[in-house]
Amino acid sequence: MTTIVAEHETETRTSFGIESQVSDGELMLRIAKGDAEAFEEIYRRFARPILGLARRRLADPGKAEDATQETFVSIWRSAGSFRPERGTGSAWLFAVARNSIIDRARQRTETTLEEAPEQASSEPDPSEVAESDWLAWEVHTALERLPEREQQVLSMAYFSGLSQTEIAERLELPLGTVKTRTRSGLSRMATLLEGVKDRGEA
Amino acid sequence: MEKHDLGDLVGDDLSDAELDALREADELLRAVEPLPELPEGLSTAVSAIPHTHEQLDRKSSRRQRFARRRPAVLAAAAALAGIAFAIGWLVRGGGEDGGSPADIVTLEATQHASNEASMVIDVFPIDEGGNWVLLADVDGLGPLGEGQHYELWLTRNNRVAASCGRFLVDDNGQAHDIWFNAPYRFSEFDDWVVTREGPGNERSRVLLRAPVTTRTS
Repeated sequence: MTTIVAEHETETRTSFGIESQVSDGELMLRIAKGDAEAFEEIYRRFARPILGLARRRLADPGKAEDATQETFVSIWRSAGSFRPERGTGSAWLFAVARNSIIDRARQRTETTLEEAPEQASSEPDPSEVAESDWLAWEVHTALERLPEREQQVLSMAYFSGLSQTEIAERLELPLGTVKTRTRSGLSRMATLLEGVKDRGEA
Repeated sequence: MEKHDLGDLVGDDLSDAELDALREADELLRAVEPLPELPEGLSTAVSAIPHTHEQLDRKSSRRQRFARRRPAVLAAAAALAGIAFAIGWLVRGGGEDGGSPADIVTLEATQHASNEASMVIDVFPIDEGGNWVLLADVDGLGPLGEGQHYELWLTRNNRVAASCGRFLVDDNGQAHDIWFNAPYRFSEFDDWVVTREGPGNERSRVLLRAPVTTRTS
């Protein structure tokens, strides 16, 4: 484990820029003051998780992209309403994204107050959907915080199904380096995701 | 797609304790879908947002005053209904800089909702796409059942005529900073209403209501 810890510490210093040390909440407060760089950093951290959430909830990729863009408009315009004492920046962003996605998904239909149509209950339990969305959000945002080289090997292993040997061949790296980065990435993910499963099941 | 065992991924030289420390992250990664790749145009579009969209002063004095003195404000709202048109017109004139609401609408509870329930909507001037931009806070609504949602409508002749969007509330019946778009001419409608929709709501009961007073073309 000594090797892994050494690489972990080195990566924290060399791969994480100054912005990466700033919490999401601090960035939100800076955005509220019109800081475009903080806005870019929030985009870097959350664009893919937000797009992933939108794609889960909207069948149309174009609508998902629109909802993602609308989410960032909302973030820029209403960052002043973020209150650190009421929750984390990530939770606030999740709520903003969810509302933009619901808004995008809505259907403008002509119904009457007296005769609103009964809707079939074919959708999954909303609480399960919400829990699943939140779990994916936590994992995706944690993954986005990893150094690029750790994120790369974890994505290839978990999302492309490649073996460590195949990853090593594709990246032209020694097998030991791939395993070290995988351990380091998982270790960092474990820290970032500590208790997530318990919170999701609560 | 084959997903390899944790041992295959990190090697076989870790102790059980070290493997256990990585196991939750391993299981969570297996449970989610891949992160999507970002479309090229999205980054460009988002990077332009700070230059094309003004930030809103969400601590508008009107809204803060409402939050602190809600009962008095509600009573005053009824008394001042007759001059709402004039106020709306004046505020709209003062809000043409795009950063201030053109109107603030307060929906109040009907007999089908708790007396505490309300929604406050900041109506911002029409955006580049021709939509009125609405920013709402809601409080005091009841919990939703399975598959249900709340919906904001504009009505005409006591019928819902145009949806402005759906929303959910938290466990306290609240939701903050809900964005809606309304590509409508408000003068064609009578009321704003909020209904609960979905299974178990065969009839759309109006929970919150306010007359449409925003004067627009």
